[in-house]
Amino acid sequence: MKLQLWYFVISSFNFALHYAIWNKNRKEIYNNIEIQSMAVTTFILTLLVVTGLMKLNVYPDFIATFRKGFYLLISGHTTTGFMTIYAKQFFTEWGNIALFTVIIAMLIGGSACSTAGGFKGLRMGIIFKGFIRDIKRILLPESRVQIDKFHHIGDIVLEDKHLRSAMLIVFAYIVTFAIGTLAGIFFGYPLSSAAFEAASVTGNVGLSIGITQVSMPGTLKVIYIFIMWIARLEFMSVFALITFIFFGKKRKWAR
Amino acid sequence: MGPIKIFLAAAFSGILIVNGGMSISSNELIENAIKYDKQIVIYSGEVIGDIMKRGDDAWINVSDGNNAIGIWLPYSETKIIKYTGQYSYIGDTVKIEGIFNKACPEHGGDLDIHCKEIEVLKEGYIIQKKVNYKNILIAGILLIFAVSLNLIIFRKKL
Repeated sequence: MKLQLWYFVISSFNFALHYAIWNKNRKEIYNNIEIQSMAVTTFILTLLVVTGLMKLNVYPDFIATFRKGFYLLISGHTTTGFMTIYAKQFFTEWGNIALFTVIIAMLIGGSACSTAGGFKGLRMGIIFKGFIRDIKRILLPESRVQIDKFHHIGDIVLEDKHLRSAMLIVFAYIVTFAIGTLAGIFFGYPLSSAAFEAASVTGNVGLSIGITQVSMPGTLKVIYIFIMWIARLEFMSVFALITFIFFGKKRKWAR
Repeated sequence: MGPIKIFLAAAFSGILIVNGGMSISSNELIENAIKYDKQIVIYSGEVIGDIMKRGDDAWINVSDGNNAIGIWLPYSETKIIKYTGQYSYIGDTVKIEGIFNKACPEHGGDLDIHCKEIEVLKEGYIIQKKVNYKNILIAGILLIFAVSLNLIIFRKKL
């Protein structure tokens, strides 16, 4: 199980980071914004999952609670999708705190340019840095020129274009997740179950609360397939394709 | 009924089987795990995967078609199992009578059944699978087509 967890985490790292470490640039692992972001979110979310599970006494002792909670959290966070409990147990035993924590982990996902899904640690890091930058701007004198940087393979100056791009993708993810959740609710599933499955579908994770099965409604299957496809391609390429199909053709006809 | 009362009732009556001695489905056990926790249940299904020896005991997985539940039993009792469900094999159908654990303290909080009695209801068998040469031919043609397309794309730098 320990070996599996290492493999989950390493596979969710950016391929560029793998390459940097391969070239003996070991400092990159500590300085990279994605690793920092993932370390912070993993720590906070682990605390929440363990607290949620202990509050309900789901498992007999702390070790069992941590073992189950941490494994499933990492499985969701790295979008691996391996499960050590039955799908229905999420709903019947885990309680809302642990359940919604795993939902957040699935939505964040792993690193950009990796095997992982979700809206990625890089964007989380950039958005967080952007918030800090704006707070600093409010507090510091207007005459002061503040330059903020983030480290991703190299040092990059944090600009508005980085923030805009990150916010846009995260916003598109949240909207897609909301649509998936509403679809689940529409077909009669409870909010927490619908949200869990929608987060798994949006992040291409694979964890399930039991909605996804052969007997699920056909329309919901189609909606989930579409969400999996559009979210995996990170929206922009699909929007570009749609624009090309409609507006590109219009131009052709105009000629 | 609290766990102490259940224990006392089980101790005095010798055995306590919920659901009137009828086999309970995996869905029923998982969805109502709190209700069945620490009680003696009967569960039936096909033995799938491997028999995993752990010292004097062993794990087997028994699937009723919906879920597979881990069964913990003495290794010596697994000798009655002839076939386990795998590729080309249908496993033996067994009836398990044992203590159901929602979160087993002995096994890291896993949902399992500690078997007290195992009985083979139906012996498994080998599945005779014939190779479909038509499918192999179609796959071969598609492979050649895909490789040719790739070659064209790379050579013409499309």
